[in-house]
Amino acid sequence: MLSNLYDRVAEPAYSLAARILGQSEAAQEVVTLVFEEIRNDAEDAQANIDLLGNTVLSLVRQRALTRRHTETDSHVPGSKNESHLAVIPEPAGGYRQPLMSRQDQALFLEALSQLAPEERHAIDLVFFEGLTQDELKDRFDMTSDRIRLNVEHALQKLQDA
Amino acid sequence: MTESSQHSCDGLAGFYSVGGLTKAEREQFEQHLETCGACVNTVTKLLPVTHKLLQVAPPLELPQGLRQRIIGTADTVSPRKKGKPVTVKSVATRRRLSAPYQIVAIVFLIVAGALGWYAASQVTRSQELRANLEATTLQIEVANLDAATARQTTTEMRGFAEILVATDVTSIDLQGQPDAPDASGRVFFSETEGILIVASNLPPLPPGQIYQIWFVVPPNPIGVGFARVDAEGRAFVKIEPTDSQLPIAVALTLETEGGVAEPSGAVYLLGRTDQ
Repeated sequence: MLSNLYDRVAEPAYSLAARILGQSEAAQEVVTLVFEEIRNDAEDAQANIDLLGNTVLSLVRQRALTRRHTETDSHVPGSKNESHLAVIPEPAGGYRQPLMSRQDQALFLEALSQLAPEERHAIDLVFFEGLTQDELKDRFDMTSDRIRLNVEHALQKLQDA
Repeated sequence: MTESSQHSCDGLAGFYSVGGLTKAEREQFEQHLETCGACVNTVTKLLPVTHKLLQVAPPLELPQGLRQRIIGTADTVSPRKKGKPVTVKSVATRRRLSAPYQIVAIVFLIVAGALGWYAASQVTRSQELRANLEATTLQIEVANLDAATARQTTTEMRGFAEILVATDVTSIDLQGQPDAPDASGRVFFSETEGILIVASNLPPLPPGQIYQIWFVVPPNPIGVGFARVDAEGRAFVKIEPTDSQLPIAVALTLETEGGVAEPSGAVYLLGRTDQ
């Protein structure tokens, strides 16, 4: 089961970690640690691969952002800590929606590309770089309300993709 | 949640869904979620988008050796560990214990339905409900019911009355939710006589839809009946006594005619019983 899970989700997980961390070695370490974390669950032949796949991806984002911010903290004392990190809410029992097929991914990327540049940029900064509202406010010279609405509006556009 | 943010939460639900709130902001927003069905709906709709985002980072070729590092070590797991029965349910449970974000308030909403989530979080509401069980309130409800049921058959009226005058009757207030803020209702429980649900100011039913009544008996909500409204938005539904335990919450959702196995439509009325 673990090998099935690896074949199914390792590539997006590694790509996600590399996108957040910008370093292959660090991304590999994060992915390895996450697979280690869910290994016992993945050994169960009855386990739901979509549930585990979504779990792996969520954990990879969280662990990679934690590492990214921890490294930033070492250079900017007191600027950030783990409590700063925003995590994705998750339903009880995990997120069980099927992982995307290649075709679905292509359609979603197409929808992403059609967002307004500032919307896309805001999502990138929130999702892949873990920026907070205050940090985004500085980047975009907008109010927090406006930034939040832009992000939510962008997500709504992506809903049907 | 501050007063101002209670009334200007637009955008917070999206930001929460995409993992954009800090820990403090997240905890504050989760408190807000306990009382805002609109934000709950938004989060529920946007979470799938967030999970898609997780899967669309620019694709990179996997480094050589990574598979060996991960799968290879997995092959060395002890037989005892391999033989340990693990259910899908336990996967999330154990991971939640180690993952800080498992405390989110929305947990019950998506899997167990909005009803279970509300029920688990509205502890304060239970105290209010206790206060509302005073006899005077009950009498007013009986009077309202008497007037409203004048058009019902004698049998129905007798059935309703038997519940209302039962010595073991208890009740739960139902509050209107964002899709029906003026609606209200009450559920009367009697182990001997049955259950009566009274509602008023409900919006007219759209064609092909019906109000479905749910009892939240952990872990999942159970559909116990349906309600139609009269021209004035009132509904009266009697449910026969059941052997199951009393629900911790009751809700009314708008669903497709014929009903659904799990609540999927908007919540119109919601109330919680005492623990």
